[in-house]
Amino acid sequence: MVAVLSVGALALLSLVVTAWRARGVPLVYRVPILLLRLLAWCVLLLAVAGPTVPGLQQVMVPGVVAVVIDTSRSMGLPARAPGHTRLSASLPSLRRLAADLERSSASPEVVWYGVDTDLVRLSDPWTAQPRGPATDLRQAVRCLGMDASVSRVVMVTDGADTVGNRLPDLVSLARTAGKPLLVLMAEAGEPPPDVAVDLVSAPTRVRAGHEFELSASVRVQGYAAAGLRAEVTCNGQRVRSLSLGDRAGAAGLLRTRITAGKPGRYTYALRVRSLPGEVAAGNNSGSAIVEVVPDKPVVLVIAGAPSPEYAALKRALLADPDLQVRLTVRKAPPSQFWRDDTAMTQTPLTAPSLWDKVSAVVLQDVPVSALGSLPGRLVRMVRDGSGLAVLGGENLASLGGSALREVLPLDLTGAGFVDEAVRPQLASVGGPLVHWQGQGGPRLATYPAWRGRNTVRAVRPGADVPLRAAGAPLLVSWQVGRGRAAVLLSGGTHRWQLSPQASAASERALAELFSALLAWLTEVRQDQPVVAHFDRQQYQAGAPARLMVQVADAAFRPLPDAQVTARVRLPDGATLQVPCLPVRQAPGRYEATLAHNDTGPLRATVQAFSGGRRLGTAVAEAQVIEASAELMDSRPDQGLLELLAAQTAGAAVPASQAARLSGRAAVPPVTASRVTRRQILGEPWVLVLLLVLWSADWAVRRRWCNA
Amino acid sequence: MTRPCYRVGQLLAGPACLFLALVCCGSLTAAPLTVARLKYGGGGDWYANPTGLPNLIRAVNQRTAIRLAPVPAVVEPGSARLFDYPIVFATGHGGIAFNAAERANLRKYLLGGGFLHVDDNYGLDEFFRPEVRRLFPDKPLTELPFSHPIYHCFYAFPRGLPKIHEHHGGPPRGYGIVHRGRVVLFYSYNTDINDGWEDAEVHNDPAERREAALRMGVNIITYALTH
Repeated sequence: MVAVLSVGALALLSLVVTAWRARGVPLVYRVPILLLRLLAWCVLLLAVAGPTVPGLQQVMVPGVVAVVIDTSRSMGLPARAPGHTRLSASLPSLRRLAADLERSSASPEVVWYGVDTDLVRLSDPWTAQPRGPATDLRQAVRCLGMDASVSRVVMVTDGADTVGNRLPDLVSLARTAGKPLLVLMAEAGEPPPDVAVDLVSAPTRVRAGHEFELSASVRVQGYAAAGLRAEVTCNGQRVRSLSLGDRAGAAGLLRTRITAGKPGRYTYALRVRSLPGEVAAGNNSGSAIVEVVPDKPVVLVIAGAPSPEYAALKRALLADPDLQVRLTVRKAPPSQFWRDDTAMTQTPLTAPSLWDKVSAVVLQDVPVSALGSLPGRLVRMVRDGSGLAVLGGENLASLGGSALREVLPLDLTGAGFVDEAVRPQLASVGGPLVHWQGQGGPRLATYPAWRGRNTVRAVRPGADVPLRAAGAPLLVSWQVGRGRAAVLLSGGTHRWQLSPQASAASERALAELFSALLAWLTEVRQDQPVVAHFDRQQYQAGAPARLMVQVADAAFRPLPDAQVTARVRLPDGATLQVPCLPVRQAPGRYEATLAHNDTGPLRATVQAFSGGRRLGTAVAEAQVIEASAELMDSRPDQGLLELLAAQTAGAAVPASQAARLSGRAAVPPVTASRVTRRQILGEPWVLVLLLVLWSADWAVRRRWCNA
Repeated sequence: MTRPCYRVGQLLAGPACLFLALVCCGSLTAAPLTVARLKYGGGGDWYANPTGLPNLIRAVNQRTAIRLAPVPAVVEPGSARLFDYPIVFATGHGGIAFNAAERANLRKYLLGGGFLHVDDNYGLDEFFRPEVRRLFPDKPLTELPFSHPIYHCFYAFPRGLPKIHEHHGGPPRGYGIVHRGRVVLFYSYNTDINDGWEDAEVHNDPAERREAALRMGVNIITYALTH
């Protein structure tokens, strides 16, 4: 046909040329003939080229039944039938269903899928293996619900949906899909022995030294709980052992009370040893992280004598809600001290009740002669991390020759006293005054002058001078060892309250100044140069493990530019070097992320360097466990499956009774619109048009040209 | 110059130089705390019992770690110098009155950390109580319980104020104006504590009564400087 049309096109072309070259025919007659022949020639060419035109066609197509097989690991657990797994026990019945569908008059198209954490097409459903780490029914429901070609969904599953989809969301999604869910509920055998620590809970923050309750929900199945014990550890160290008691087959709540230690981050874990025949050992433990924060710091004030300065200090500190204050004042020389915070009782300075858990000591104008051997004790305390504030007055100079000179930020030898008005000026905001916010900052210039100032020879190198008066140091502070010390060179601060020019702002500023000073002295600081820990005690295989490191300098200040590397021993025994990168906006913090698929211990040895010098080493440990949430709870959930089926006007039957679903699964053919394409060559109007054009050509020639 | 004069000059030169050095370089000790007597208006004898306060000061200096200037100052209630004295005493037998400015100044002083002890020297009460109501309309003059720290902060007074002199019959009473838990004004009534501080020959009181008065005075000052 194409050849014939091609010959015809050539003949027409020659006619066009002939018409064009015809002699004796007027142009007015030649042009129409030419146009007609050209048009016919184009139509022929078009037909020969074979373009197509689209069109819609309504056709009947077989209905699609999607059969979804749960290929998660729980389907590999034993079924009731001996020698079978949950999946293999379901397959014979599924084959019968497939055969029924094939034989049915509807002859639906069956498409096979496997679902665990994802939905995938199966080319050979009968060889599917239950290996998936978890089950995500939501994935199946959502994908198949969106597929307009699918008319029915048949699911073969045990319902152990372990991805944690919320039941209401799952049901809502299934209802929205608008397709009946036909469920074959895989039958499970006796559950394997399993002990599961479902939840370990503890308060997220606890004050140091306070008691809190650690509780854990423990589930035991297929095993007698009597005789089982749970080990409680804190950061890997065993704390105690708890008996699970006689809770055969039941869930129980274990509780124990723990006294929080020093401030820090602690991982409390509860673990039960694996049972004989236990399949899922990964759920035998759980942990909770507890942040122990400092209890209200205890501040001990030792005052040399009752005075208006002492009274103002006492009022300010007792009003501070963030402090526990112990006050002792020397009421009679040489060293008769009385407790002034409780019932007034004569209490020697060495009384243990004064010093228990003290975080900072304030010496308020105390002569060294009244302190006995305390200076040495105070020096040791400061070096070990406590704070020391020395408030000025006439007795300040006497401290210059004592052991305290080791930790004080200035040389008090020969310190003098000037009885003059003192106007404090902020020299720097930092150190003790970093907390001194007041209202938009202290308006020192508007406050009354203090009275009296101690003069000193020299401020020690490295000390800060946050407050000055007429250029002379007024508040001097520094970090020494693990602790901090500050000296306030005036005993007349109470003038901010007791003065004709005193205002509410100046009164408040005095209280805030003391609060800020004590807050700085008692601030919890890192006391090791390098501290490292993982953000969790356990990770599922393949999940990222976050290693967190904190680095401080010799003065225990965060160090932002250290070089930090971790040598990590992986669960498989291999080691690798991992750089820990600095965390922005958190000076001194470094992090690295690790992931490994093998199970076992994960250990990181972290080293930090600065300026080529090693600062310190820290070790962090964690555990990589089985990456199978699937086996954490392998119990079939028939209730879930029945609910899904009911909500979608479907049905749920035991897997062995799949034949009951044949009638509902056999969806009849459906009408579908198909897009088709037709060749112009096959269109009748093309032939008609050609005949018309040729006829017109003959008529015109006969009438006008006799050609 | 004669030899003795020369010797005296030599003897004096050293201390004079030292004195000059101290003056130039700053003193080594702070000025001691000074208590003051309130010179109030109203016609009453604010100057009564002149030996009382000095004796009390001496007792405080001897028995406690507090160092008070031996001579009490005198200050008016409206004076800015009032704030230089952490403790102010007032006594008398008659009228006591404050004008508005004095009340404002006195109130600011007391609420800012100052302390006023008023001792009824027999006859002051009828004038003082209305004045203190005007001074503190928002705070009543409240009798302090025997357990109050002012009765226990140095010496123990389990039954409250000691009775020094008889005025109206009945027990002595201690009243206070309390601000934020602190007694800012202490009023001793029907006891005449100040008389007990006086020199022994003024009232010829028994020694134990004078001792009790001085002890209570030590308590008052200790309380004021620790609260």
